[in-house]
Amino acid sequence: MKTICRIPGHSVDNISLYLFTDETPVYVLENQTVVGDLDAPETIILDCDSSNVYLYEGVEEPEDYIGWKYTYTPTTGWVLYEPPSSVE
Amino acid sequence: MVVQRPLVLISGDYSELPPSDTPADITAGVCTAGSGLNGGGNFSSAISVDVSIAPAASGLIFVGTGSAAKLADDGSAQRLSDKALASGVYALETSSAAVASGAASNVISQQAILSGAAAIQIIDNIPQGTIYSYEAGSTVVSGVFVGVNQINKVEPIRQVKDDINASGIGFTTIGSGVSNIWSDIIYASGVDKVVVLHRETFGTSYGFIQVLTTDGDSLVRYPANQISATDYAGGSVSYNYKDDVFLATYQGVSSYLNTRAFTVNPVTNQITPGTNKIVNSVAVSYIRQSYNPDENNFICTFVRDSSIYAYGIVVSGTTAYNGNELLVDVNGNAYSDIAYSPIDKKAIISYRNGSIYPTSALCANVISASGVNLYLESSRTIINKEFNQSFSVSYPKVGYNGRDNNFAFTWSANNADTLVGIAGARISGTSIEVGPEKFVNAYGIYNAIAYNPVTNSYMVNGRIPTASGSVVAFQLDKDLNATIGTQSCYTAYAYPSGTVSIGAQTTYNEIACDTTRGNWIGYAQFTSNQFVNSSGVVWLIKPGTRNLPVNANGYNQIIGVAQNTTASGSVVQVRLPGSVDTLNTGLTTGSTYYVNPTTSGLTTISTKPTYWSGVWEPVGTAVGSGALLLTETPN
Repeated sequence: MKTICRIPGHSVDNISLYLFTDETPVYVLENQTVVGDLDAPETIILDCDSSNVYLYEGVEEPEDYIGWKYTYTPTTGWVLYEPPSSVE
Repeated sequence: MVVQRPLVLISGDYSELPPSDTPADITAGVCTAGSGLNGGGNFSSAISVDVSIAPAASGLIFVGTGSAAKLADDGSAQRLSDKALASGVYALETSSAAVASGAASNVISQQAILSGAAAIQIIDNIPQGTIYSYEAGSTVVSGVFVGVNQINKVEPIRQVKDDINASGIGFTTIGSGVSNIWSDIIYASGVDKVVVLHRETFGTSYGFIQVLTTDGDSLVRYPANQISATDYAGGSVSYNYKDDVFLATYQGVSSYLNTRAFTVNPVTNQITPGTNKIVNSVAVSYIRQSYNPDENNFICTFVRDSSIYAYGIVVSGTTAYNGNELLVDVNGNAYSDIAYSPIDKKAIISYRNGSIYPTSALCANVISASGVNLYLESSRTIINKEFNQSFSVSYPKVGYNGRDNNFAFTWSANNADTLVGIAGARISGTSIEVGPEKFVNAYGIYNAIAYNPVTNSYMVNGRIPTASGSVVAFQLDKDLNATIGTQSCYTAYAYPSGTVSIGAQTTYNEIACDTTRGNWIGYAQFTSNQFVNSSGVVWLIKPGTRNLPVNANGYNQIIGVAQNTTASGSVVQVRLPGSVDTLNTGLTTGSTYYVNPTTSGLTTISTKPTYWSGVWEPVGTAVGSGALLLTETPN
């Protein structure tokens, strides 16, 4: 599997935003991230580029994955993210 | 008694005839009793004559008896005459009053005659059978038949769509029936298509675009296209009428903000989608969207971390580009909707704020745009603060009326969720002016609102608490007061054959307006206990019709033929009945003609409009192919 995570210092450190299969082409570019073929993308992620995300490949799929549920680094692996209490 | 005997000569001497002798050759006279007398006889003997009097006779009577009897008057004649005199005097007095009354009648009749004469004079002064000048109450085209409205101005005879009442509903199912929720519906005038965004579930949820066409009486659907990636969770679709391009913005994977432009082929109805774009890799909800014709881009609004945001998105071809984000309000917010005013060049965003009151309040803000940059113009405006502070507000929707440049808010207005609140509004500078709140009996959590420019009215699509889904139209006056029409329920629809009752099971109600034909188009999803198995349903909602003009007495009446084309407020000359009009051609000599209520022109077929209150008769007889003798009969 592949996962896109925020770099430290941007939003929540190492928060995992996306999880893709190994077969899904993912290109983190300077101004955007392309999912699928570059000539015929399936999806373009406008707020993820090489300045604010890492792409980790060869990761295990965590249980009940959804964006913003886990942080990930090759060192720590998947860690359940506990967001701060919302302010009313 | 002395008895005198006749003198006779006896022996030469005159002497009385001796008793017992009778003179020879002398005959005594006979006394005959006449009418009213009796007695009489030969004078040769003692005779008498008596007067015959009826017993108890009125008038003369005998008083006394025998030789003392005397004739007298009993007085009855006097009494009778006195009575007759009294009666006569009374009759004279009575006749005097009658004479006085008659004299008064004469005066009145003379006045009536004078009045009638004056009226006749006034009528005579009107050039009947010729042409008379009036002020036009609306646009009048030369040659059309006209009547007088309630303020004595002339308007064409015509049927118009009813402002606030609906009729004619036909249903078309869309979707697979696997819970076609999280929907939106629009009408795209440039390509004359109805476009629906809704969910389909095939293992995971996808957003689908369904294209339909309408001829005003029915709907035809075409194959739907998947528009989203997996994990679709609701969105909104808008139409850029300048470039004929659509933009669907929705919750995608992990509820991130996705957007995708697409076009619809006007002939084949095929969808050509652009590339899906993830605008923001953070979970959002309650996405709604509006086209901004001034900047030729889109503004979407959504909720993220209990705050309201707006986002500008520009589309080139079928490629969407991200713009900038604007924080509209913070903390305790949910739901959002947006409507844009090209006149104000500003948009209103409506939403629920849960931090102001113990429960919540319907709030709104004004924003403006420059390119894809958005700016907050107003501070938070509390729309319903005077009304339902203790109730939980939800689903605050906002619509826009481009004719009068006003907005209308609708929302769930009570905790039982059985009332939809309605309030008119307008942008005043950078603030929001709000009209009085009214209610309709419907569930508010799935209410939707759309504006119809043909009828100049809004319609709410919701469902009523006890029976079925419903629609109700309303119109705002200049003071933002809402006049609400009759609520119509979706009573039944055919699927796949026969009739199926639709109960109180509609959700995710949406509504749009076919601005070309003036119909509303409703959408609702039916929950799984319905026979339709959770399908989305689209149906037409037609305005009713009414006839114009109506005069001050509440009647429709035809007065003649307009002789010139003019705008409202200008002079229009009208040919009155009794003369020949030559502004209509193609007539058949000898045929009688009626007004055509659709064109305000002529037809040989009597098509009296429904609810026409006046007489509907021929208005003329053709005396030539281009000459119509206008009937004297009033209409």
